[in-house]
Amino acid sequence: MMMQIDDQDLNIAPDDALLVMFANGSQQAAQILVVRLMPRIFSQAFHRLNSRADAEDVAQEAFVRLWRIAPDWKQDQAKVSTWMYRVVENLCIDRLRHRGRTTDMGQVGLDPVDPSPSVAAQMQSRTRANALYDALDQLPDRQAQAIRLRHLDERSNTEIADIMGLTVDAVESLQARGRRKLAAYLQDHHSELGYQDETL
Amino acid sequence: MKHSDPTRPDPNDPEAQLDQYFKSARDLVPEPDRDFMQRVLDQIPTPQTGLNTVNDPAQHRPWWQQIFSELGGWPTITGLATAGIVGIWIGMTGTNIWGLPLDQFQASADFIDPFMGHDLSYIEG
Repeated sequence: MMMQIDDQDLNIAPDDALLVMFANGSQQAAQILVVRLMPRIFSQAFHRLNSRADAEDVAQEAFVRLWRIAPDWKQDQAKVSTWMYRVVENLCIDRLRHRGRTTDMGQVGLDPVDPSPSVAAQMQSRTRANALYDALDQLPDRQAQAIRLRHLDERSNTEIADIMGLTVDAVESLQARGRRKLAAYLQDHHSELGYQDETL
Repeated sequence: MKHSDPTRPDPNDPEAQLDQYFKSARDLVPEPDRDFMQRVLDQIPTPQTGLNTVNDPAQHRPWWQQIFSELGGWPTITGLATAGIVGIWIGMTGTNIWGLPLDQFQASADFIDPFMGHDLSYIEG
């Protein structure tokens, strides 16, 4: 007897099972993957690139790569979300390198934000976010990655340990050191970097 | 000085301020818009076309590339070329390619009498 898979089963199926279903011909499985993974992927790319257009390009390319790998996907090799995280991270690094060669970094991060909050509140948030991105760039790569994953991408430390190939203790240690440096950096540099933040 | 405004992080608490920075950055991330989502959904390949292209890249290769790969690729070609060159060289220089005095071995072999052991039996009858 052939097993029927209804919509509800698809919605609760794990990512890797959906990818295998897509490779076997289910377009619906792929659609669910897009809806499920996109918010996190887009957010990750946006935090790295600070630009909606660039984040969209990267997220779109990441899914194209996922569809390509689908026929060869091995369910025991890695989590789909971890694989996507790495792809997005690499695409962002490529884009930042290219941006560094071709554009003025001062022009980045000027996308319009959600118009609903007051203009002053938006300016405040934008100032803080830009200051934070600058400060993260000053950290060693591993510390910055552990901090971004936890506090911007909101991943669990278990997941971060899996992504970074570390123990949870090592991840927590990186985060603690990174947070201390970030706090000190933001405290020391807010005036010289020109941040007009009332809280500092 | 005591921190009075509960809506703002305590300026004396760097950890609380840092959390405010993270929150600001998270709040600024826009939602992926509907057009963009639709574009990505439209790009999902149909299994018959998209996946076949990935699975079988040989389909779109020219005939000479297919023959080349079926023969075994570069290892086969270099092996054949080497064998051909050695063959021509042996043909032109003769079989004694290492310059060994093979003639002497030949001459010595002529003096070896394979029936030498039977001489005594002839003498003794």
